[in-house]
Amino acid sequence: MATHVEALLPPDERLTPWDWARRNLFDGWWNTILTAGVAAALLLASVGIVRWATRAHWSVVTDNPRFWLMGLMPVELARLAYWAGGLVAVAALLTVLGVRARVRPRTLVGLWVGILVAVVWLMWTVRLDQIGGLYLTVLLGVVAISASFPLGVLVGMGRVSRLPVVKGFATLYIEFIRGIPLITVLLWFFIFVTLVSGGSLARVVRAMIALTIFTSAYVGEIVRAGIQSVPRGQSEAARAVGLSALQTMGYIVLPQAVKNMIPALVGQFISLFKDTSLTVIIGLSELVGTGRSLLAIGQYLHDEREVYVFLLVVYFMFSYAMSSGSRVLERRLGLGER
Amino acid sequence: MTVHPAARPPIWRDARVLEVVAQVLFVVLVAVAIWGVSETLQRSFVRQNIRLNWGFFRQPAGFELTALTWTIDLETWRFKDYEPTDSYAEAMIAGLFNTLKVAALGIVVATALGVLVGVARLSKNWLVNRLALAYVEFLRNTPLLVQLFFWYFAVILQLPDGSAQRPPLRLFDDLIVLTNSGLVFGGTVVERFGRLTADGGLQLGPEFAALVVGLAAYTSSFIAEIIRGGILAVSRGQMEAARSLGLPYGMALRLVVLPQALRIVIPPLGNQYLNLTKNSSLALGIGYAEFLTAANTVSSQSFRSLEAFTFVTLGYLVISLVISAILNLIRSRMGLAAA
Amino acid sequence: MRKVLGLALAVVLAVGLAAYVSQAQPPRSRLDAVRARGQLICGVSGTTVGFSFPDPVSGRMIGFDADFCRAVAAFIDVPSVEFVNLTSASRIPAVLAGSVDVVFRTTTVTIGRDDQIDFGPVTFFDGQRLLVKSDSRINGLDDLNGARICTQTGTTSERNITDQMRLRNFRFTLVTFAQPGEAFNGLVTGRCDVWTTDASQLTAFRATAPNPADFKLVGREFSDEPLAPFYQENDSKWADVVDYTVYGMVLAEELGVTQAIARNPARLSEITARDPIAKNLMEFKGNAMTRVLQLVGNYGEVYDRYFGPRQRTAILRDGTRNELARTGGAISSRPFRP
Repeated sequence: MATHVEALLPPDERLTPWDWARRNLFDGWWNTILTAGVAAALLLASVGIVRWATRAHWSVVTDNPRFWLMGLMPVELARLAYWAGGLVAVAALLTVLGVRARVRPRTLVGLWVGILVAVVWLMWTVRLDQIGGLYLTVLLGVVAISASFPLGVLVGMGRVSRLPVVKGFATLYIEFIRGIPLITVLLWFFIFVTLVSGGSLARVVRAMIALTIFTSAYVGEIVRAGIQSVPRGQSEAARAVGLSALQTMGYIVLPQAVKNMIPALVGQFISLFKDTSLTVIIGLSELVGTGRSLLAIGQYLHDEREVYVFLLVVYFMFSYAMSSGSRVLERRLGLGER
Repeated sequence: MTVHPAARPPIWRDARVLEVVAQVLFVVLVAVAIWGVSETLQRSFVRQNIRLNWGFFRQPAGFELTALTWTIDLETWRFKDYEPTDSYAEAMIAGLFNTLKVAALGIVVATALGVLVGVARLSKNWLVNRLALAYVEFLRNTPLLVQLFFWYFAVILQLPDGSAQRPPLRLFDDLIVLTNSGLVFGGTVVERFGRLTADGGLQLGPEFAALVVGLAAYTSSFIAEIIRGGILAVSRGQMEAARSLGLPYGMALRLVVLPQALRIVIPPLGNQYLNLTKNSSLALGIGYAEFLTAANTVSSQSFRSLEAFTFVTLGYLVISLVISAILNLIRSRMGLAAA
Repeated sequence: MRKVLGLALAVVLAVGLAAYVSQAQPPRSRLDAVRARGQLICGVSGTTVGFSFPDPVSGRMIGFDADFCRAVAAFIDVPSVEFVNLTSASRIPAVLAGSVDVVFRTTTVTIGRDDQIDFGPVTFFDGQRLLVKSDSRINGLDDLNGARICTQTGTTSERNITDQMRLRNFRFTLVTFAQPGEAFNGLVTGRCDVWTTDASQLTAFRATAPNPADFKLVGREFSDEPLAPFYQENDSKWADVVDYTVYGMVLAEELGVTQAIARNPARLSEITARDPIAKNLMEFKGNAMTRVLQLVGNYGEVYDRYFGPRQRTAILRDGTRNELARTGGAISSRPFRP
């Protein structure tokens, strides 16, 4: 006997804009006052900002695009640099589209390797010290991030090592670096490395080394937490199966740990990207340094507001893009859903 | 019946022996690396005729600090006001006191702001929680150094300078006087060099103000997220139970949820306080004479940069260790696990 | 076993490396290092109008100091110059640590500094003065009781003004900045009542203000600030290079050899045939001075390029010590005799 079952639709949760506003903005007298007050303040603030922005001297930004992008790069090399920058921008765009379209990760990695080779080939004649502006900021960030990850993993593994000497040394390293501000690391280390290397390393490279050493201590701490988050049973089982300590770490523990570490790692790398701005204090002309040297030119002497607002917006766009990217990655990997 | 002794593996497969060997090798490796670096350093010193000399700390500094403060007289070990005739070491101690001043005030302001924004992030009012979100996202995603430059050069220095065209902001019968030379509470307004300024009272210099505002705003965005996380971590049932007992929302938050959230919040909060203290070294960019800025001036006036920066690095390490120790003490008192 | 072998290998490698590093560096002159690098690393301010500042249009560092850097590079026939922006505070550490080869950065010669570094010949005679707004009643040091005073940190100005104020038992507030442009801005925004530093910088920054008449230089020079390049101690080979570049440019002005003449072989040989000193000068060290003069010109030409009467940042030369010694000034050379 067949019975006819009526399909029951879920209740329609769509709200009319009016209902939505009632529920989220004017829910009771207190909320209504709050909304009104905040809206009034916002309105005033945005009127002020718009009025300022329309009168501001944006020529300091709009008249010097090449200077902002690549600093004092010689004109004849700038064309190559434009091409390289364009390639990277296209690759970034393709990546975003690719992730949307769920292209296989291998394809994207291939794309980036190709782009990287092309960029290195294009910029081969450019010396590191000729790069400035946004290019230098991105370069510092990318190199320091890529270098501090493996170093940080080593430090983190040392931190959880069973060997007391190794563990002690890693702990000392982490605690020492984490105990001092980045700016003193940069200042002190800059002098120190220069003395040891006899001035043969480019300044940019020395800054990269200092940033890497600094960040690797923080990455080490994240790696330690990540490794400890993997249940002990995993490594015990691996050892029982006969894997060596290194194999257990490499094949069993780290892959699981890395997945847990991603949110913290991305946070650390965003802060590293922001921290590249400190290299202006040791005289690198990255984005902030570029802005400050523009401010020293007669006609832009009083455009602090324009320059610093522009800088804040640029850094925000990059960092925000990175954190949005990491959120997408977390969702893809199904983090926080276990 | 004989008991077989446990079969010992051959020496090169004995884990205990291997561990010792590995550690010895590690120590040797580190020692060799340190030796190599110090040897190179020595040669570098000889070649460039650098002689480390810590005695310079006793020479008179000869410069005035942007932010006046007290210091410790190294002869009598008493507090006194810093003067240009004092030694380099005393100038750096004056800077250290300024760092502590900035950190103390910064922590208070950052916590107040952070709690406010953190609670606003959870508000049911859409406008309020979006605004709080924007605040957090913007501050977290821009470099602190640029924020400090912005506050100092683009905001505070652009305030009225007290001249006839741009008169100072005078509130409550001169109780508060605001110019770009600082915020003064309870001073008397006087005319100096054609401009009105306030004398006496409690003076907050513009460099100090920019540093505190910048540090507090930046750190508050991290504190807000910690507070939000802490409140969310307290299970909803707690709030619902409190409400069903008849407590109004505010009381339920204050008496039931917040005390529980506090326990979750304190360890990460302590780390933020530590960060704020370390970040105060960015004052170097805006010239407020805290520890690092004082050391930087000492380094450039005495040309003893390696010594001055080594001293300041160790100084920060000591500050960090002391703060960490205090935090751990608080955590253990409250029965919390160390973060 | 493999682990032990690996570690042993690592130890051997590390020992070998350390031994190599410590053996491989016999003391050698910076001249060899610069030649090997093919590039001169020159420390400048990068933010001081007139002396060294970026030209965003051409993407080059220009200015009085920057031209001397180029001259030194031309002297030793090194094709390129890297400009390193240094603050007043970071310039001496940079030389001590060896991260720059030479610094041209409006640096006053003092005995204390000479303990750590060596100075070349004076390129500019300067003195400290005061810059105030034109409606200010400040006319000199004696009017400064209770004043807020802007200056740059790590300079002789910082100490001079402190000494002068203490001499008079005046109360004062010192506001220090890292860059001269910021200090000037401190005066513009009214953070301080007076900006004090070397008169040349005061003049140059005043000239670049939208309305220079808003500011005036007051008081007499109250300090003697001979500005000179500096480099690491005890390297006389390298010292000779820097010194003779400057001396050669001064002598060329005395002899009337200009950039135009140096670039014109016919006129040049005419002069060298007539004047044996000119011949010595131009043929010195394999035509080193010919290259210098072709690139930047003689001392007077470099001066006029940035501080000449037709420049915006004009600084009077006649009747000051910056005139040539033979016309009553203090800028002098050495006879280029074998």
